Parts: sequence; C-alpha cells; structure tokens
Amino acid sequence: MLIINSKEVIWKKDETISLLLKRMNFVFPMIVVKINGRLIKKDKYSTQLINDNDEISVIHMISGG
Amino acid sequence: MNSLEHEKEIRDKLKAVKIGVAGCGGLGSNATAALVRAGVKDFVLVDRDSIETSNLNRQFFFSKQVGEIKVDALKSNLLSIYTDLNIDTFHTDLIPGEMHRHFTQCDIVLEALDDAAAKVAFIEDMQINCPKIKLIAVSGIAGTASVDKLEKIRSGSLTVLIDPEAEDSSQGILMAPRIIAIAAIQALEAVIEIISKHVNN
Repeated sequence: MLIINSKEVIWKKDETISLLLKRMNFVFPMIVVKINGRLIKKDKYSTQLINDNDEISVIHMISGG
Repeated sequence: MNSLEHEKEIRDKLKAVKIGVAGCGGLGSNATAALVRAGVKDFVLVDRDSIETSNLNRQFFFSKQVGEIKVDALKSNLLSIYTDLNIDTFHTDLIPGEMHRHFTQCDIVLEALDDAAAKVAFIEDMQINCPKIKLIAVSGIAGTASVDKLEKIRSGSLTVLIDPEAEDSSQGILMAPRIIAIAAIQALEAVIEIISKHVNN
C-alpha cells in the first residue's frame, strides 16, 4: 500500500513515478514530487521505481506570487 | 516561566534567524513586512523586477516608488518600520541550477515567485542543494475565494500552502485582501517554525 497525498493507494510492482502519475491522473505539468520526505527531480520520474509503503506527495504548483 | 519571559524568549529567537525571500511581489513584500513587525532582523531579498503601477493594488510599495528596483524599495520600506535590520539584496534573475546560491546562509526561505514553472524549479533546486533549510512555498493566490480552503502540505523540510481550487495568476484577479492574508499565513508558518525549532533545542 502507498500513501499519496494522505490517501491510501494500491502499490504495483515495477511502477515508475511517471506510470504512477499517469495511473493517478495527475496530468498537470507543474508538480513537485516528494517520496518519504525526499524531493525527486523531474529527470528521475521515468526511471525511479516506487517501493511498497512509500509515502508520496504530489504537489501542484499554480502561478501567482 | 512567566509570560514576559516567554515573550522575550520568542523575540530573541526571531532576532536570531536569517530569512530568505525569493520574489518580492505580492507574497514576498507583504510577508517580509509582517516578519519585520514580528521581530525578524536578518533578510536576504532576491527579485529581478522593478515596481510598476499595476503592483500597487497588492504589494508593499508606494506610488512614488514606481520605476524603482523592488529589492531596493522593499529594503527601504522595511527600514522605515525598524532601523536595526540587516538586509542583503540581489536584483537578479534566479538561474536554473544556481537558484539556491543566495540562500545558503538562511535558516528559512520563502518561495514567493510568480510563475509556476519557476516555483517548481526553485523548490527542486532548494530541496536538492539545501535540503536542511526550511522552505515555505505557496501555490494558488489568485481569485476572490476565501482562504478557508488553503491547505498545508508538509514533507521533510518543505511546507506548501496550497489552494487547489485557486485560479492561475494569468487568469484570476489578484486581490490585496486575499494576497495579504496568504502572505501573512506564509510569514506565520515561518514564525511557528522558528519558535518550535528553537524551543525544542
């Protein structure tokens, strides 16, 4: 089981961050991804695998400041 | 401890920290003013822009300052609140890969940039290169909604204040009461961080 933005989600073997984002329908390009408190750089999304029990934050950034 | 001693302890902690501000617009200028009034003395301000008339409806600047460089004008305005401040200013673009450069000596950094892509790049840069520095970012300030929907996402040293239903700043209206309220919440997050961290030590 994974925790994504405080919600429980089923873990799938051999799933990369990109595939997980697709499965969760996170289609916004402007996101920050953190796994277990560590920031994941965008260039790792297509290669880094998700582990069971990972706690993941997907944070959508909207313009304005 | 009595309440006067407790207040002194908090004020001493606020005096001891250095706060970095990336972007001195609606969020950055107002959050910094709140932090100066709270008792923070030490700042690093970074912004690439000059003041435009259209900024005056929400940013902590005055009509006579239109055309001035934002970091210089903000420094001057903050020094008109209290004179005993130490403020470093950088009138510059944040360069990808080096965005953290001016903030390495800070205890806390406020992400107060406008563009969503710049926000993402800045958060990435700070969290990779300075993972121990507390970073408080904001997502979603435009529109006229109440701030009741504002959520706080905390992960490691990052806190993001996010309104998932907010409009993009290129489409939604930028209203002083909402933006000043969110800037104040961002400043309060910094104050809470300062107090909690140092009290526990």
